[in-house]
Amino acid sequence: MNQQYRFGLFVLLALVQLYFPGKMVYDSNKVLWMGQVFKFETRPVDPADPFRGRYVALNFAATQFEAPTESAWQRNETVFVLLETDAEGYAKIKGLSRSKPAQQEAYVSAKVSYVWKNQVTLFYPFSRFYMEEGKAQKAEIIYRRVNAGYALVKVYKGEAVLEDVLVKGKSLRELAR
Amino acid sequence: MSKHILSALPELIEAGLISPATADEIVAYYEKKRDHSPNKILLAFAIFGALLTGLGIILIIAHNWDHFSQMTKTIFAFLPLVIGQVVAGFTILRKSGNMVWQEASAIFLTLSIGASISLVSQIYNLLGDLSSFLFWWTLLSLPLMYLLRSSMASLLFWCGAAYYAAQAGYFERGHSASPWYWLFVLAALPYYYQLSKRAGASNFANFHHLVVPISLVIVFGTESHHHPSIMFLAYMSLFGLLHLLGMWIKSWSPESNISGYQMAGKLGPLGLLMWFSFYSSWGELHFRNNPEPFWMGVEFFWFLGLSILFIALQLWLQRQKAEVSSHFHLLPFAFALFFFISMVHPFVSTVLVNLLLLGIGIVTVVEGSQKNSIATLNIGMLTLTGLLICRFFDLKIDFVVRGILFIIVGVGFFLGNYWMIKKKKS
Repeated sequence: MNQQYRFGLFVLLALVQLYFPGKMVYDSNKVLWMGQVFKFETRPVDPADPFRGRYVALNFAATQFEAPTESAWQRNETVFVLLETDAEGYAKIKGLSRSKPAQQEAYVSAKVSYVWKNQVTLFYPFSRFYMEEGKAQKAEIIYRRVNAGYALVKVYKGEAVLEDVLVKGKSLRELAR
Repeated sequence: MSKHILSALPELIEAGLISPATADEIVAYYEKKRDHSPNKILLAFAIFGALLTGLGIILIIAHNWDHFSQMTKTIFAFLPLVIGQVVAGFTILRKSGNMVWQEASAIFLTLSIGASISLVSQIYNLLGDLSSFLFWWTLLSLPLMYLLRSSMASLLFWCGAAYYAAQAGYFERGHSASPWYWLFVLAALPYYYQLSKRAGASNFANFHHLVVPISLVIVFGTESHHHPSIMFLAYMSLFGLLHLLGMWIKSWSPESNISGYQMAGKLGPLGLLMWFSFYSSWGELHFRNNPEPFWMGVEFFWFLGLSILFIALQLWLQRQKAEVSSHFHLLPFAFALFFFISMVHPFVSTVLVNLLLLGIGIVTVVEGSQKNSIATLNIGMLTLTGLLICRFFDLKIDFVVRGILFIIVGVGFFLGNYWMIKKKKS
């Protein structure tokens, strides 16, 4: 393989390497700009990831759904969750669907973590809130004490980005500072 | 070493031991050698430097800086990647053939790909499974070994691929590394083959000979699905195949250190046989309660495929007149036979495995003493000791008898090694 050819291939590779994180940034920003806001009620704990650092793991209140019929939802299956807002302003599951819902519906894709009789428990792809090292644990203590809060999630065409976690109307990042 | 010889040359000429012409030839020889071999210390420092810097960046990123805005953080996410790419591009254009640049830039770029993906998912709170993160990281760094001709990129790739496959296959429910891991292996094999041909005696090649078989043995277990029992058979064939592959590499690259293959090919089957020397191990295998017959399972296909490869390689090596005679190559066949007997008579299989282990121990001890090999002698002794220890767990033998047997084996170890060392000295 001569040098020019090798360099040409390398430039292609470099572009692909940039494209991948670049697309992650673009997709996330698209959701942040265009998405509809939902408040998800939460309960957190504090683990760590070897590469991405410390985060607050979020446990959402709206994860269970009573399926109307004994529909054969499978474990680990990816489903579209149709969302609506309840009387208190928190996100609530309206329904589940295997096919892509209509454009005007607000929906997000999630994984079925388990099924018991008609009850489907879901796992959302936005259950990690990354925080500065040292603050995650402090945040968790604050959260345990108050034991009430919600996650601000932007939802756009099935994609979701977690924007912030709020406790008593204040950002968890500020509270843990 | 060469410095000592070169400084002694004037003295040797003066003493009339060598002629000035010979001295010139010696100087020329060392100069030529120095030109061809890269500076090993510099290379080692470059590798460790790039590894530490790359890992340091990942750790600093993992701290997760709250003071910076999302925009600033996003720019920082791409910074190490772009720097790595610029250095790698420069290496291809200007430093082609310089091992220090090639290895260091490849390591740095490989690590910065991971750092960049990590930081972006941290900034936007993207979850993503660890396995899919490792998958993309490994895939995006795959071409580096070829484009930068970097052996470290290849080693990191083998480790990354194994980490990904183990994470997906063993720890994350609903995931499987198949077929991606095997495609990764296929993609990385040409580089490994070229490296072993080109520089069989180098540290890089020897590290590959260690990492490749170990990663294959670790990951292979993720192929177990509905018939885990059949995996024992498949593993036995894999061990046999790895042992033969080691001998095959040795046949065209005699300077290679194939201890990784030897370890997988010898300790693997011995460990499995030890496990199956217990009657209860055979009882834990289950074939009947499964709705799908075992010969329809993917595990059985692996067993068949690997066995065919194993037999074919053995025949081919024999035709090439390579030295492959080792009783370890009969083990997969013997084990398969015992395995099928156990479906009807598990007790018979247990007795046969015990006899086989006893036979292997004795034959290996004899072989070691004939070949004057302390390592082989001790493998044989360890086999016998292992078998003895195993039997103590399930046979009700008197403590005094056990004690005496252990003393006999201990004295045997001592005397065997002592006799061998004496024999070697004389």
